[in-house]
Amino acid sequence: MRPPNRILNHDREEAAVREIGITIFSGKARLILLAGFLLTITGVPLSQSLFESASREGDHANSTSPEATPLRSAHEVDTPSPGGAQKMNLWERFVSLSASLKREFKECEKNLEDHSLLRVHVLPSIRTFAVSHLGLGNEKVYLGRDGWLYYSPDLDHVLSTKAVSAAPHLRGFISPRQAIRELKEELDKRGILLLVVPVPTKTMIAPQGLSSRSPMVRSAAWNEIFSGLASDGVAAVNLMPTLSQFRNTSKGHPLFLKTDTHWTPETMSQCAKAIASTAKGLLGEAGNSKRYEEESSISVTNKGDLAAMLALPKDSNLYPPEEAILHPVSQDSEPWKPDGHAEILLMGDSFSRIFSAKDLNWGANSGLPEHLSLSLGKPVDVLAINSGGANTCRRALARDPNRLDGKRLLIYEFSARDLTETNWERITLPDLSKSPSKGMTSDLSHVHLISGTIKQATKPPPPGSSPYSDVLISVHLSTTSDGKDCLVFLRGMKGGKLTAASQLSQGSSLSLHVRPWSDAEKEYGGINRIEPEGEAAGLPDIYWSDDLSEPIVK
Amino acid sequence: MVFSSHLFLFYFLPLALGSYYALYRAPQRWRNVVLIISGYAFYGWAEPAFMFLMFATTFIDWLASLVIAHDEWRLWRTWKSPVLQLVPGSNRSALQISAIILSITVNICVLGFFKYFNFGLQSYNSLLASLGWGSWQWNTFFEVILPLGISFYTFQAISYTVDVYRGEAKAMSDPVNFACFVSMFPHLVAGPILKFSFLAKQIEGRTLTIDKFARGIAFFSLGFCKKILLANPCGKIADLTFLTGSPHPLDAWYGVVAYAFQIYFDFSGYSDMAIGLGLMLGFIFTKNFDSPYHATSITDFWRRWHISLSSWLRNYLYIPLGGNRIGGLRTYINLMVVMLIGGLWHGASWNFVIWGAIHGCLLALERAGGGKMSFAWLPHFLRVAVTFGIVAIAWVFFRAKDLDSAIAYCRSMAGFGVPSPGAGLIDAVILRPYYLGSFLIATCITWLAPQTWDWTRRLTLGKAALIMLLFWVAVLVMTSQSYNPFIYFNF
Repeated sequence: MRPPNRILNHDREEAAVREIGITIFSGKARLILLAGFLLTITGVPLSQSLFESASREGDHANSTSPEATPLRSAHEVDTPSPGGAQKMNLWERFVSLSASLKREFKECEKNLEDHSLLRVHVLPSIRTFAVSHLGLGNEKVYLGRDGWLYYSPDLDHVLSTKAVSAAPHLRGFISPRQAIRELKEELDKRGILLLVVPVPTKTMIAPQGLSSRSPMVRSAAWNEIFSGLASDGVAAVNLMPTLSQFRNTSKGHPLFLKTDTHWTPETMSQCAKAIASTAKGLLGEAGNSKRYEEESSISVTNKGDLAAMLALPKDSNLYPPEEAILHPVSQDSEPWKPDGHAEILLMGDSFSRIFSAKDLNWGANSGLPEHLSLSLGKPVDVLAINSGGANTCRRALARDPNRLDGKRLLIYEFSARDLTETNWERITLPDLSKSPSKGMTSDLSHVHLISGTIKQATKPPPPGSSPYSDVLISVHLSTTSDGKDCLVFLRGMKGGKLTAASQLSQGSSLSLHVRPWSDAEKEYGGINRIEPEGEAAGLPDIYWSDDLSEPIVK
Repeated sequence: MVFSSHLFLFYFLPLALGSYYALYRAPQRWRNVVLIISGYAFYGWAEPAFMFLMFATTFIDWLASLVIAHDEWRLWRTWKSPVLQLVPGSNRSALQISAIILSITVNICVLGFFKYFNFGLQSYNSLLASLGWGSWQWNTFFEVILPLGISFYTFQAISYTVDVYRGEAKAMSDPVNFACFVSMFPHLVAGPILKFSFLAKQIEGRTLTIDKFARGIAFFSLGFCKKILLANPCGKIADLTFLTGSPHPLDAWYGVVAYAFQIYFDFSGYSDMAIGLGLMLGFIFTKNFDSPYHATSITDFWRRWHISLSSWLRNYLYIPLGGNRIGGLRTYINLMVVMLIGGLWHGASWNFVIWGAIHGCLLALERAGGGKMSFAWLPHFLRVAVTFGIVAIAWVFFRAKDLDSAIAYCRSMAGFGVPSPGAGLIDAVILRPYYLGSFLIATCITWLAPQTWDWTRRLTLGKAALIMLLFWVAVLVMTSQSYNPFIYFNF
C-alpha cells in the first residue's frame, strides 16, 4: 500500500505517544469538556429513570399496561414447547437461543430509544425546526415543493431497478410476477377470472412537488410487470393512460392528496371506471345487476397520513388538514355495502379502503369498491387490508377460501410500490378437494379465556414510520390447556400510539380473553396487520383479543 | 452496538467507564477484566453466538503464541516458566513453524468462510449458469452471516502471533491480558488495527490521567459529530443517487463526492471515537487518517487513508512478499497483489476487486514513474483535485451494488448514460437546504479544517465550548435519525 519503510510503524506509535503527551489545555477547557461530557452521558439516563419512577408511581394504581420489556435471562427467553425441545439438538438449541437473545437485545434497545425523554419531548421541536428551516422530513417522508409530501418507499420504487421477475434469495419468497401467476393458476382451477390492478404511486402520478420537469414517471418495474403479465396470460389494467388523460383534463387539480399517500376521490373515480370497463369486457353483461346511485357530494377534511408521520407538535400549522370532496354511492337510498354473494371480489390494500372505510378518517361509502359497483352496476365483495396488497390479503384469502364461493372475477389491486419494496411470500390457496381445516375456533364462538406461552409475537412499526395510525400485531401462542398452537390478533398501535400488546415478547406467559377472528374480522380485518412468518402463518385457530389494547401512557 | 447510538452513549459507556474507574486503585489486571467483560457485552449485543467464535479464535491464538514462545507443545510443562521474546532473525523449529501456520490458517479460514462463502457460491452458480450447466448449481437456501468486525480482530490476532514468531514481541502468558488485547471494545469492530507490540505495553502498564481523559472526550465528541452531522446526511445524498442507477451527470458527480465525504467522515469519525474512548481508558492508539483528500497522488493518498490497514498490509503481506527488494516487475506485482487483497478484505464482491485493482495499477504506475503521477507538473491544488477525482471514481466501484450498476453510474458521470425514469425526482430531495448545507460544510472541513489530532493538540476554552456545543447538537440530531451503523461495520 504505502511505499515500504517510508514511515515505520514505531514512528507512528512514538508520534502518537508524543502527541498525547503534549496536549495543552488553557483556562477551564479541561473542566468544560469533563463536566459537559460526563453530565450529558450520565444525566440523560438518570433523568430518564427518575421520570419513569415518578410516572410509574403515578400510574401504579390504575395501570393495566405491562412494563417496558425487561431483559430476561437466557433460559427464560428460549422456552421451546415440550415437544419442540426433544426435536432440537444441541446445536439447534444454541442457534435458537442466540437468535432469541439477539431479538431481545434489539427490542430492548428499541424500547430505550422509543421511550427516551429526548425522543419523546425534544424530537417534535427538532422536527419542526428541520421541516420549516432545513427542508428535512424524516426517514419515511420527503418534503416536496408547495406543501407536497412524499412517502420515501414510493420514491425508492420509482428509482429501483429491481426486476419483478427475479426471485429474492429468501426462503419462502418468490417474485411478484410468479406470485400473481400462481394466484391465477389457483383461480383458474376454480373457474374464476383474475384482473390485476397495480396502482401507480404518488411519485409516478403526481411528482410535481419533486420535479416540475416530469409530468408522470413510469418506474422500470411498472413497464416490466405489464409485459410479464401479458406473457403469462394474466389480464391487467394499466391505469397510467387513464390518469395521463385525466391529468390533461383536470385543469390542474391534483391527482393525489398533497399530504397523504393516496389518490384524490376524483382520481379514484376515474380509475374505478377504467377497471370497470375492463371487468365488463371479461365478465360480459350476464350476472346479477343492481342499480347504484351517486349521492350529492360531501366534503371531508383530514390530516394526511404523511403529515401525521412527520410527528410535528399538535399545534403545528406547517401541514394543515386537507379537504377532499367525496361522492358517496348508495343503493335504494341505503349506503353502499359489500355483498358476500357478489360475483366480483375486490382484493387489495388501502387504495381499496380510502374514502370507504371509516377508520382511515377520509369518509365512507365513497371509495373504490363503491365506485366500481356504480360503474359496473353490480355488487362487489371486498377483502382489503391496509398495506396488505402483496401478502396479507392473499393470506387472508388462503385462510378463508370460502370467500371465493360464487365468484366469477377477482380484482386484485395493490400499490406499484409493492413490486419492488415488498418481498412476496409464496401463499397457496387450499386444494379444492380439501375443505379448509377447522380448528377450535369453529367450536368456540363466545368470548373465553386462553392461557399459554408466547412462541412468537410480531411488532408494530415504530410510531410515525408507517402511514397508518392503527396496526394489529399477532401472537403465536402455545396454549397450556391442550398444548395446541393458535394465533391471536391484537391491537399493537392505536391512534399512532403503541399499546400494551406491542410490548409482548417471546417466552412470556399470557392470558387473554379471545373470540374467533371470523367474528371480529368485519370490524378489524382491514387494519394493517403484521403477521408472523413461517408455520405460525398457517395456523388454523385464529382469534381476536381486545385485551392490552390501551395505548401506553408515557 | 454502535458508538453513535442511544444505548451506547447513555447506558453502555457510563456503565463501562464507571466500573472501570471504580477499580482505579486496583491492579491493572482487574481493569483488564472489566474491559474484557465490556468488550464481550459490546460485541455480543449484535450477535450473541459470535462471542464464542471470538473466544475460540482468541484461545487458539494464545495457545499458538505460547507454543512458539516456549518451542514446546506440552504447555503444562512450561506453565510456570517465564515467557521470553524470541531472537529476531534466528532459526525457528518445525514446531514453531507449525504453530504459526496453524494460527494463521485458522484465522484465515474463519475469515474466509464467513466473508467469502456467499460470494464463492454465487460466483460458482453464475459460472455454471453461463456455461449452461445450471443443474450443477448448489442452492443452499442459507446465507452465512458475517460476524461483526471479524476482518479487524482477525488481522489484529494474526499480527500478534506473527510478531511473537518474528521475535518482535513477547508472547502474553496471561490469557486475561491477551483477551483484553483482542476484545477491547473501542477498536474491536472497526479498528484502528493496532500492532500487538505497541498495545501490549499499554495493556500491562498504562496510566490514567485527566488530561488523557479530557482529550479523549474531544476526540470522541468530534468523531461523533463527523458521523451524525456530516457522514449521515452525505450518505443520504449518495444513497439516492446510487439508487437511481443512471442519474443526470451533475447528480452523479454530486452523489459520488457525497459518498467520498460519507465514507471519510464515517470511518475517520469512527476512528476518532475509538481513539477518544481509548484515551478515556488510558490507551493511546495511532492515527488512522491524515487528511486523505489533501493527497497529491495515489501513493500519498495511501499514506493518509486507513493508515492502520495499509501499515498492516505492508508489514504482514507486502514485505514478506519481497516488497521492493526483488526488482521492478516484482515490486509492481507485489503492489497489485496487496491492493487486490486489500480490496477483497473490504468485502466479497468483484466491485471490491476492481476497486483494489484500480488503486494497485495506479500505485504501480506511480512507482514506475519514480513516485510521481503524470500530473505532477500541475499546481498543488490541481494535483489535489485530480487525485481526489481519481479516488472518487474508484469509490463508484466501492459503493455500487454490482458491476453493472457501477458501469452505468460511471457512464452517467461521463455524460453518456440514459437517465433512469425517476432521475429527475431526486433533486428535490438532495438539493434541500439540509443536504446541500451538510455537503458544503463537509467540503469546507475536508479541505480547509485541520485534522482532529492537530486541532485538539491545544484545547482552549473556546474550542472546548465549541466541541461541547457541537456534541449536544449531534446528540439531538441523533434522536431524530434511525439506526445508522458505520460503513466499516460491514467489512
